[in-house]
Amino acid sequence: MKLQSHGIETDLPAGWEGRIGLRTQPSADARAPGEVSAIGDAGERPNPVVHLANFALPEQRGDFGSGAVDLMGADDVLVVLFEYGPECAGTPLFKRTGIPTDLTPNMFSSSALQRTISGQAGCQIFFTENGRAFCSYTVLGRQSNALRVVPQANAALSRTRIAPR
Amino acid sequence: MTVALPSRRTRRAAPDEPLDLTEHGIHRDPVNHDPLGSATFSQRLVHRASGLFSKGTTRRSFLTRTAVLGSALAVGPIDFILKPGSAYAYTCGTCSDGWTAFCCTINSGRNSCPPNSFVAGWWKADNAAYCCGAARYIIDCNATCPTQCACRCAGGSCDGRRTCCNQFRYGQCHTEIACYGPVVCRVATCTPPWRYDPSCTTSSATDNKTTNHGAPCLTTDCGTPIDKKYKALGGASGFLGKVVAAEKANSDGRGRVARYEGGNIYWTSTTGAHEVHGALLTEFGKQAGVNGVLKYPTSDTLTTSDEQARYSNFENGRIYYRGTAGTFTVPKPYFAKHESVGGVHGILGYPTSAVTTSSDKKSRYQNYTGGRIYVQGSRVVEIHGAVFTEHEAVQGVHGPLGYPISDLSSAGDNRGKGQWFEKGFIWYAPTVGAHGLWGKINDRHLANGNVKGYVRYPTSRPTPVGDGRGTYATFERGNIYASTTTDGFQVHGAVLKAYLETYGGPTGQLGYPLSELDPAGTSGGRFQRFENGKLHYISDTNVQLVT
Repeated sequence: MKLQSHGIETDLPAGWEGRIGLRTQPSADARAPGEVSAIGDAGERPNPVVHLANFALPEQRGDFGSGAVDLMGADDVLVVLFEYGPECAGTPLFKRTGIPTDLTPNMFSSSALQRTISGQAGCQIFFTENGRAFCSYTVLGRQSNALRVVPQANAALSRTRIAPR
Repeated sequence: MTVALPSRRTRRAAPDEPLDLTEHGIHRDPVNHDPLGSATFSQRLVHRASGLFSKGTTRRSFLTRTAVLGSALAVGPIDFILKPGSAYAYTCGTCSDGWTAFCCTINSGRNSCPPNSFVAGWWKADNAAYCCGAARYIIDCNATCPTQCACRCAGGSCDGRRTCCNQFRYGQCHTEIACYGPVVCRVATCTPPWRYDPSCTTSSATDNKTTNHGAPCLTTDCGTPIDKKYKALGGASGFLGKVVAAEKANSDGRGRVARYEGGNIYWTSTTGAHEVHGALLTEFGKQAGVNGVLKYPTSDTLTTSDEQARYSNFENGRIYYRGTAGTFTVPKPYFAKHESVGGVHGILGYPTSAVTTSSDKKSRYQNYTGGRIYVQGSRVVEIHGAVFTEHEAVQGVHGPLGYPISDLSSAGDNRGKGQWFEKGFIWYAPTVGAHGLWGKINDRHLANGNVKGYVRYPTSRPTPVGDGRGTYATFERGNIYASTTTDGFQVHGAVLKAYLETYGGPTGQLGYPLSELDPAGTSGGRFQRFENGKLHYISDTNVQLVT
C-alpha cells in the first residue's frame, strides 16, 4: 500500500501500516496576542510526521511514538520520520544527507529512547534530504531481536521518498 | 534518595563498546553509547532501591518491596495536590517509568538547564493544567559532549525519574551542536521554547502522554498575564478577593480585563497586567475606565514618597487618592505639565479638583494645592503661588488679564519672574510680591523695558485714580499714569515728587502726563508735559512748573 502526503511517499512493506500526519496549526484565537492556546502558540509550525510500523498503530500517538511504543512486542519495529523547519537543513546536526536505509544492530541502544522501556532499543539519525531536515527514529520492540527486525526497518525506509518542498 | 547506576567502567564489554557513528548521522555521545547495556533498567534500579532497606533479598521479598516503593510513590500526587499553592494536579514519576526527571528536582530547585547541559529540543503537551489549560512546553537539557554525568535516579520524593540516562534528542534547538549526551533533565514552561531560548526553532513536536508530568518543585506557570498578576497579588486570599467576572477581551480589541471582589486587573501587550482597586478604581470608572481618557493602567497602586497619597499610573495620566482630601484624575495633558513642574512634590502640589470647564467655556482647568493648570486648545499653562493669588484677586481669567499664555519664567535680571497673560503681565520679585499690569500702563511698562527699565517692578496693580478717568500703578522707582484720553506715561524721581506733592497729581492742576521726561542731555533742558502744563527738571531738588 502506498502512502503519499506533504511531499513524502512510502510504499508500505507487506504487513506494515503507516500514517503521514500533520498536526493542526495553532491559531490566534480569542486569547490575547502572545498567549498560548490549548494546542500551542500561533507562532509554532507543525511539520509532517511519518509513522511506519509492523504492528497496529494506536490512534493516539506522540510524534516520537509514545503511546505506540508501549504496545510493541518482541518482533515489532516502529519507524518515525519527523520533519523540522527548512532553517535546520544542512546545520551540523542535520549534516548527513539522504534517508538512512542501512541501519545496523550496533547503531541501536537501549538508552537511545525517548522513554526507556525494558528490552527496547532505539536509533536516531538526523539528516537532510532535498533541502528538508528530518530525524529518523527507529524503535525495536526487543533489542535482542535486532538482527531479525532491523532489515525490516531498512526495507520500510528504502521504500520512502522525500520530495523537495 | 539517589541511586547510582553501575558506572560505565563496570559494565560489560562487547557488543556494547562505544562506537562513533557520526558518519551515519548518529550524534549521540559515543562514550555514552548504551550505558545501561541490555539489562532491564527498571528492575535493576528498583531492586537496588529496595535493597537499601534490607539485605538478603529473595524474589518474593523483592516483589514485595517493589510494590511498597511503587505505592509510596503513587500517593505522592494526592499529597501535593492538597498542598496550598499547588493549583494543578500532576503525575509523580518513578525511576522505573522511563522518563527523565525535571530540572528543578536535580538542579537545586532551578527550572533551568544545569551546568554541562544545553537546550537541545522541545515538545509540547496540549491542554495542560500546569499552564491553565494552555499548551505546556517541555524543553530537554541534553548533556554536552563529553558527557559529565552518569545515569542515575533523580531521587525526588515525587519526581524520582531518571537523569542522564535517555540519550534522545528532540533536535529543534542548538542545531549547530551535533554531539549530544543523555537528557539530564527537563524544563517545564508555558513559554514557547523559541522565546525561552532563541536557538530553538518553531518546529513543534507533540506528546500528550506527558501533559501531567510534574514535580513538587514545579509551581504552576499557568495562565495569562492577568492570571499571573492575580496570583502574584495573593489570588483569592489577597486584597483582590474572588473572581467576579472572568477575564475577557475589552471591546476596544486591544486589551483584556478581569474583575474581582476588590478590584480589576487590566492587560495589554504594551502595558502589561496591572491592578486598579479601591477609590482609584472608583475614580477610574468615573473616567470611563480603559475606554476613557486614561486608557490602560501602566502600574499597580503606588504610594507617593511623602506617603500622603496612593496613585495609579495610566497610559494617559494618573489618579491620586488622598483619603478625605479626595481622589482626582490628572489626565493628559495636565499630567505632563504637572510632572514638568515637579508633580505633587513640586510647585503645584496635589490635585484638589477634577478637570473643570471654565464658565466662559473657553478653557478647562484643574486646581492644585499650589495653583492651577489651564488648557486652551493645545496651550497648557500652569499658574501658581503669589502670581496665582494675584491673578485670582483680579477675577482670574474673567478679569483684565485674561488667560495666562505662558508659564512663569525668569525676568532675566536675576531678581524676579514674569508671567504673560492675554492682556497683560504679572511680575513677581521676592521683595515686592506679585502684581499684575494691564492696559495702557502695561503697554508703557513694556515699552520702557519692563522690569529692566527705569521703574523696575510694580508695587501695585493698576488702580483707579478716583476721577472716573484714569488709573495708575506704583513701581519701585516711579509711577505710571493713564487715562481714557491719554496714554500711559511714567513719572519718576524729582518730577514725580513735585507732581504729587506740589501740583496734586493727576487730579491737580497739571492733569495726566502727556509725555515721558525728556532724556538727559536734551537741548534746551528736560521737560515732562502734562495736560495743563509742563514740569522742567533742573535737578533732583529743583523742578519748576512751566505754563
